[in-house]
Amino acid sequence: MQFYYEQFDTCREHDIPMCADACPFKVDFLDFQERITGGRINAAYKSLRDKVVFPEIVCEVCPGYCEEACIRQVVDSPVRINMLEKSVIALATRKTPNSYNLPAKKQRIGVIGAGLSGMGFAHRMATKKYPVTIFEREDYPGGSLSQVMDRDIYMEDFSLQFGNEKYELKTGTEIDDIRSLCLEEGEENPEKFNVIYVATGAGGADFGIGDEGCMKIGDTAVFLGGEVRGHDRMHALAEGLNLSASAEDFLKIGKLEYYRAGPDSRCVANRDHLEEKKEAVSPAGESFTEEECKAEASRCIRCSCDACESLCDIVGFFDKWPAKMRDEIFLSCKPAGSLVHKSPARRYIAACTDCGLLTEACPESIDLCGMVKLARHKMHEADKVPAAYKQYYIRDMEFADSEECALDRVPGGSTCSEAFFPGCNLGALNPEYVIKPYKWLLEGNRETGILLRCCGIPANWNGNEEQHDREIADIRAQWEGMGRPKLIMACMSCMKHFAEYLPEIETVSLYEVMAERGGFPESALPEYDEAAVFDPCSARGKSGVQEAVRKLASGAGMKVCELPKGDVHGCCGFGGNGTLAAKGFSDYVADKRASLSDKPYIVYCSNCRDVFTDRDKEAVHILDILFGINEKNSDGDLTLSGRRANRIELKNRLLAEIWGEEGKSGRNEMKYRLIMEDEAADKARRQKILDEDICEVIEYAEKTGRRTRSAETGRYKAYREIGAITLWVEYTEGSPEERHIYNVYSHRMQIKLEAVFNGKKIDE
Amino acid sequence: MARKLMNNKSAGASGQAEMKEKIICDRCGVEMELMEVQFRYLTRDFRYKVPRCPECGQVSLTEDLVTGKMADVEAMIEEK
Repeated sequence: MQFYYEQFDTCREHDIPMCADACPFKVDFLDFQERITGGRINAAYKSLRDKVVFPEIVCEVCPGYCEEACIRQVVDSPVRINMLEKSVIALATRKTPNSYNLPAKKQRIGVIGAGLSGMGFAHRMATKKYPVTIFEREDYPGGSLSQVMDRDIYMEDFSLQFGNEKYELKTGTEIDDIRSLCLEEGEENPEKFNVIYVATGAGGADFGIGDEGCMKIGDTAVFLGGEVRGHDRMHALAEGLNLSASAEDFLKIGKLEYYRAGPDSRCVANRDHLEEKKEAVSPAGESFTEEECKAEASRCIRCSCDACESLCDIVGFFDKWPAKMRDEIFLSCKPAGSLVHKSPARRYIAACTDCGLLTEACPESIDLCGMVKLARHKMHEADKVPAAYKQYYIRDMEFADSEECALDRVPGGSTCSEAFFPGCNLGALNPEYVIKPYKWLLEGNRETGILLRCCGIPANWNGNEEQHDREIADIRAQWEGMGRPKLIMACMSCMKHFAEYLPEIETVSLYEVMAERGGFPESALPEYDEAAVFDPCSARGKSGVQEAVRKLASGAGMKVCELPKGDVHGCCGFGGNGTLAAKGFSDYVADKRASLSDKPYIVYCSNCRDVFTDRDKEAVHILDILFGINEKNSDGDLTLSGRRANRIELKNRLLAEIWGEEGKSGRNEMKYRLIMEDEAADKARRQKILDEDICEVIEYAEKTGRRTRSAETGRYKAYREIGAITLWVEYTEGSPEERHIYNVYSHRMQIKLEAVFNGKKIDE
Repeated sequence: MARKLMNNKSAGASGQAEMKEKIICDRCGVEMELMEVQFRYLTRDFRYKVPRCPECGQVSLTEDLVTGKMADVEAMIEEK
């Protein structure tokens, strides 16, 4: 866990945008523009002034480093920040600086040179109420400013910004010997200074201060900065402002250290926000009006590193940034008995779809996906995963692996060189999805075996290592029993899972085999003009299978197009335990994926098809097209019990049609035939409630009489704990074997009835 | 904490479910009344008034309670 924890040190969440990073003053342009768009011009002026001290001078002289760094120039032109600054200055109505009631300080500050840098330093120190004396060789302040600006303009800004502060300006005073201004050790002298800032301008005297830029002469700290150190005017002013912090450090704690800039920002602009061209606003007059300011400011795409937010569904849905998630996950993994026993990350650890996109997308490759995976195991070990999260998936896995559905066989022998591994969901959706491709495979190779079972992924989603290891060991044993064949995989998730946990098994996707061999007499085209291929998250970056599916679809006569970002998207919403662990999360993910394109999708993962069909997004499986199985969306209302029945039917049909054996598997006959209202059936499907569970509730209620009756509707209501959930059913009796179901709902809390109630034992 | 959540929020300070319809215990044939019952979730216990049979103690929960307040409390406890 520590390994993952430390990776977050390089997270760029708080890195400033490139414009602010390029600015010598690190002006927060996002805040500046936000104030403008909010119509708060005076506040925008204030945010600018706080950073640059002399806004009028700066926006006149600054060459606009920010605009050079603006990413907008890739598509049109940079945001006109400089013009925005000028306009804000022109439009602002409250420019008087704030007056702060701070106690006057005793330590005295000397500044040599009244250029921009010296005046900036002097201003910062004067606002902190240090007595400041500025020595200027010339008869007026400004230094090199006078070469580029009208003196009246900059003098006006100086006097405006120094409006509330006192300082002494000694013009026509050239300092030849700095030592005469410095305190000797232990000396107290009101004519001398505790700190001296030397800003003598380009080619000015440096009084022997070395490259370090600061030294101590007697008891006085002397700093050197500004144009004398080779900076341009803006960097010179910024240095003066920054050095005021170093000077204060010296005065307060005696630490003499030259100001050091922080590391460069590594913010990465999200170019997706640049799709739309927006030409720069041209002012009607000399500067922008307020409306023009707003229009120009709205061109800013507000760069920040949001790779995780824009791509990771967990970050997007739970609205938590990775650094916060790191802390919550770390906390949640503490053993249950530890002093800290909170699990704030419990829900999203279980809900994560395991698409792996975040780690791939993060510019720092922070492996949050890996951390979540490990956390699942840790939380399982600590027994912190609510049983209700996993109950359905584990039961489903166990059912798929049960004698009723699972099969490993080879036609005409016991071993084979190739075997079909369809995965458990494909046949549950429709047995034809497995039978038709298998028969097709057999035409190419009569001895292709079949291994029908779950790949064990749900155990891994739950972090149940023991169970997962067992699953993997079982698969390995079956595979070895079949003669270690190459597995032809229909499900990309199974394939990815095997690559990770059973690397010794050689696998190839069914679609690559199909694209290579060809020949699909039954192919039927859906009535789509054009369809986009939706690559499952488990096939991201797998060009072989991606190309094969496109070739198969277009070979069948489909017009195929791509999604806007190709395969760079997360899971369809099927992965993980999100459906049960976090209400709304799976829907959020599925809706996001379904709206990637208006076009119908061609999918090659049964889970994707399942999810899209469920939300009425037109989607066909590539097997639908090639084997003419479904023309378009169908089986959207397939119940969970219907899926189970399909799995049993699949095994029976395979045995009958391939091996000529009578299928032995029979569905566990339920005591009642259920007639479900549509709404109830839909609820049962969403809450992963099986018909068998509903029957169990009714059977128990009728055996014990523990049910209630509504006086108005005459409907019975009963409940029963089904594993980790309590299931409620509202029903009426029809014929003896028929029950009409009106409503089902479930909760995870347990109802703890008293052992004895009203003097009678409760027969729970 | 959980007790507070169950007792003091939205369903009114009374800390109980409302009985909108007449519900009869099928076994005892008597009308249900609001009575306390104990709930447990992830090691937390709390009591809440719900319709119960005064004779045999059988409980009946409405869908509104289950999908509303109970689901909220479950989610809250899961994040603790």
